[in-house]
Amino acid sequence: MAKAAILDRIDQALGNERLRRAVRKATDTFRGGRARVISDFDWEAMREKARALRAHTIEHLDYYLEQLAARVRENGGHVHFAENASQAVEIVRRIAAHHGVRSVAKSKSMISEEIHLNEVLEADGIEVYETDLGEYIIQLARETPSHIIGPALHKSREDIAELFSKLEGRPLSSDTPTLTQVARRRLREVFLKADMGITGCNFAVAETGSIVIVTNEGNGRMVTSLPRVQVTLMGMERIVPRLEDLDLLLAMLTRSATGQRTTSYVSIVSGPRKEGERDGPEAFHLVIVDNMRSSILGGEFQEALNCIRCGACLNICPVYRQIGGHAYGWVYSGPIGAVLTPLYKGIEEWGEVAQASSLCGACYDVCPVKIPLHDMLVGIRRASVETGKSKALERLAFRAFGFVMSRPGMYRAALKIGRLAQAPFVRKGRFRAAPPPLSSWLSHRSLPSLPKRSFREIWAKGIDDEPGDRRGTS
Amino acid sequence: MRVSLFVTCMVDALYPNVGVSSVKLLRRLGVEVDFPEDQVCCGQPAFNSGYHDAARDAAAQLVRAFRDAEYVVGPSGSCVSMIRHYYPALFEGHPLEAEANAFAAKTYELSQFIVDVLGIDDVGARFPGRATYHTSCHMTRGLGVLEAPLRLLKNVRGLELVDLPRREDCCGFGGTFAVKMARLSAAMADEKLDHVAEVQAEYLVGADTACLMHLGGRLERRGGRVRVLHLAELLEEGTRPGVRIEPEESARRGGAGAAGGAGGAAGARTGAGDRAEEASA
Amino acid sequence: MTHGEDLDFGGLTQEAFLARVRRGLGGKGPKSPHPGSLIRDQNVEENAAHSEKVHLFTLALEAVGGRALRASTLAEAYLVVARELAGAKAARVLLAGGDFRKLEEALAAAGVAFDRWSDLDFSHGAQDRALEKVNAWDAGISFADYAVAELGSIALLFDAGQGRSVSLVPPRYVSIVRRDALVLTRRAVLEHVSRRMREEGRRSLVFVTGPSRSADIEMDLSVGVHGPGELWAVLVDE
Repeated sequence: MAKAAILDRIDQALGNERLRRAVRKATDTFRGGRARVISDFDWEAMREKARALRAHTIEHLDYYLEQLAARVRENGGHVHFAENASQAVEIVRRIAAHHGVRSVAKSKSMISEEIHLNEVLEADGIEVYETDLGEYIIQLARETPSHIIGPALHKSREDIAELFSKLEGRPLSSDTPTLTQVARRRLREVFLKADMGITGCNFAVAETGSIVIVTNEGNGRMVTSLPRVQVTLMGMERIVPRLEDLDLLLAMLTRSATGQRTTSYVSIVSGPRKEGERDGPEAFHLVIVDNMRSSILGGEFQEALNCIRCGACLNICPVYRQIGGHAYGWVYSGPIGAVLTPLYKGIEEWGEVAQASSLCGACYDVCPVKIPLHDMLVGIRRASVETGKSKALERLAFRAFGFVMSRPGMYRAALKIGRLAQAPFVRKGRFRAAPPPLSSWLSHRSLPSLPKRSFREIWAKGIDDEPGDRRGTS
Repeated sequence: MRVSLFVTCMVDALYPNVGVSSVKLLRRLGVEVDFPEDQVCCGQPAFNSGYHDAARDAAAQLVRAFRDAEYVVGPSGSCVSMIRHYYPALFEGHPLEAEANAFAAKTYELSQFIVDVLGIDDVGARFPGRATYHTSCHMTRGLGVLEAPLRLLKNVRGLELVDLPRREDCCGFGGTFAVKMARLSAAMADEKLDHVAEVQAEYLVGADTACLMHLGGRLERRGGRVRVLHLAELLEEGTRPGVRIEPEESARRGGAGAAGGAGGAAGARTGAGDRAEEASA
Repeated sequence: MTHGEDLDFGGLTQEAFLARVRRGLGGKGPKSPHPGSLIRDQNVEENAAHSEKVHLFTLALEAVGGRALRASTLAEAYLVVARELAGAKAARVLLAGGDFRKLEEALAAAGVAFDRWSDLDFSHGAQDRALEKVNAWDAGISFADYAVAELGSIALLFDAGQGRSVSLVPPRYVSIVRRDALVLTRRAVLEHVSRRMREEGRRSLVFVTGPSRSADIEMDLSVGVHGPGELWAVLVDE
């Protein structure tokens, strides 16, 4: 049962002190970086502009997708449309077969995680290499990413040294330069030899038929320059109307994600190489993926498609801070994950993820495109309730709540009953034991008992002034 | 000036002295207070858990109860935020829509009311000690009220107010979250309480009893000599006769009152959820 | 390329895919115009003085670990590049396509060997791409198509001469920035490039800002992960 699973994963994470330290360190660094650079602008005005641009784009999604496809084809590229994960995987397999691909160099693509692409290609006998350093590390460790921007932030340098040592067949020290050199050297060979590059897509520009890849390492450039075939996987909502719109969205993305004014590289690729170019892909394939995104168009959660995958909500979330990304159970974690997972994978099975939030609203505060994530979490909880599948006891409890709290007489009676019923469990103003769900509270905190008189009973007797009290005038 | 007190179900049932303190404080500031007896609950627990019909039923009762009120004042940032932010949408298309909107527009959190409506940021209180203020999420982000309580506290004579590090991080209450994900909720409280200990505060003050109940409850398990109290309680104790700084006295002493004076303000009373003597008879 | 050929690879037709999107959007309400995306006043670009741009660019580039050099003329720039490379013990460099004769002379005089991108066969599997050959280059050199002062970025529009690998594969990239390539804002570059894509059939480009970096190992900064670990920009007054 998915609910038990998430509670287990949360429990495991809470018990993993090393993970929690790593998560705190990474998120604090990203958060601090962001705070330093957002003062470059009237940040609130920029957020509103970015929100308006994203909202406009999603409202006209069909129009811009059509424009994008036409431009990419004019530029000599191919465009494919995948309704779901299995179609997307099949398209990539056939492209690989068509071009006689034996090896693939991949730069970061969240979509490829959604569709579990690597396993399928490997089963076809194709060698697949992740080239983003963090993704390379977790590929070796056979794990999934734990953060949108820093997929391996849960790994210590000792973990990484162990992985790389196995690869090299000799013990390696765990200092950063040594480990980086290993990755650079090994992946350099991959870049030069790989038949196909598979990339994700931060943005796709409709007007020019371009895909945009934002990296710091340079692997995004390598895989779009050296292999002979390029495949770019794109979530259909990543579209941007005009090239110059990138100025705003890149400004919001890099600042919100890592606190950088810009990343080391922003690659803009508009199809295969031009006549005369000596590098760059000879064939370019854009795979536009739906995978449940269209299911939230036209509804109350449509704004979730504004997301530019910056990870700022993860970095600010007090819950993510305690449990890290894996506890959420899918490729997207933190507040955006808690919203998308139930929506994309089914509310009945995954609705529980939306319970892992105290609704503090910090996510909305930092979202560069103003997605009301905190309100959406309540909306998902409401949708869960509406499926009729929530726990019977809970439904009953809240039905009683609605009944009692709308009737003052019933409420007063309930308090009287409560005071009587609590007596066996109470000592010195505190509960010593209680039935569930209160028992959960008591497992970690003390709980005060109902005092002998409620406020309204005190009021009824009269609240006198203190002796010598003077009422002011106003 | 007359206000109607929205006491909130949590204060009414569990922390009645917060309500008593609010009444006494408002009276000392020259405000007449009435208490519409038909009020019960704003409905937030049901709303946040997704039970919007139940929430609306509770909310409708509250709207009706305050029909005749001119100003509604409540000692809870989160309940007032629920009303101001979510009632308009909750009652869209409902027969009570217009009244719900009117209700939202006339409801204030206590410190917000004192500072923004009464225009008072110094209530003449004296409360010696070292305190830190918990900026509860719904009040700070939802309601946008941060300055008002801080200004009131800064003007309390003898009170050393220290900033709580990482104050923007949630304490971990979150309603049913505190029960559904108890260990996670407690972990968040632990971080918050570590910061309180870090700044060596004797008092933890807040404007939301839910947060205070959660933090105070966790504190009792961890141990610690911090008194957790509501802003209304601190200001009420600080303005009791004999304690309060009178305007003439303030002028004579050049404005800054010395620490001391009677009243149960200072001292080593520890433990959360301390209730006034009236309640435990 | 027709839709029909793409269908050989599987998936939905474009029509079917877009129909799903349209169904979801439900054709609701009046559509809104593009809301614009300017983040600052347009005039700042026109009014920026060259010296101000040089100053801002230098600050921004150095802040990310890049190196800014100055030269009054192109001839001087070539001498500076040759001298600095020799000083850094560079033995062999890769030159982008274009008229680099004067630079070639300066390099030769400084004892630095070079390969010309236009002479290479860099296709997949070709000899020029062998690891030993590629690892022999200590630097790649090309002209910047644009430089963005507010960010310290270099923009390179790829074509026959501006090879992608020149600024990517060697461990150091040296970019020569002529006066009229230096603009204040990234927005200005994007607008220019958009027009050139339409009018000249330009396709792909990159914005490079400083050296390659990563923080994936315990949030510790590594420089020179896949791309060059050093970036030099030579700002020329002419």
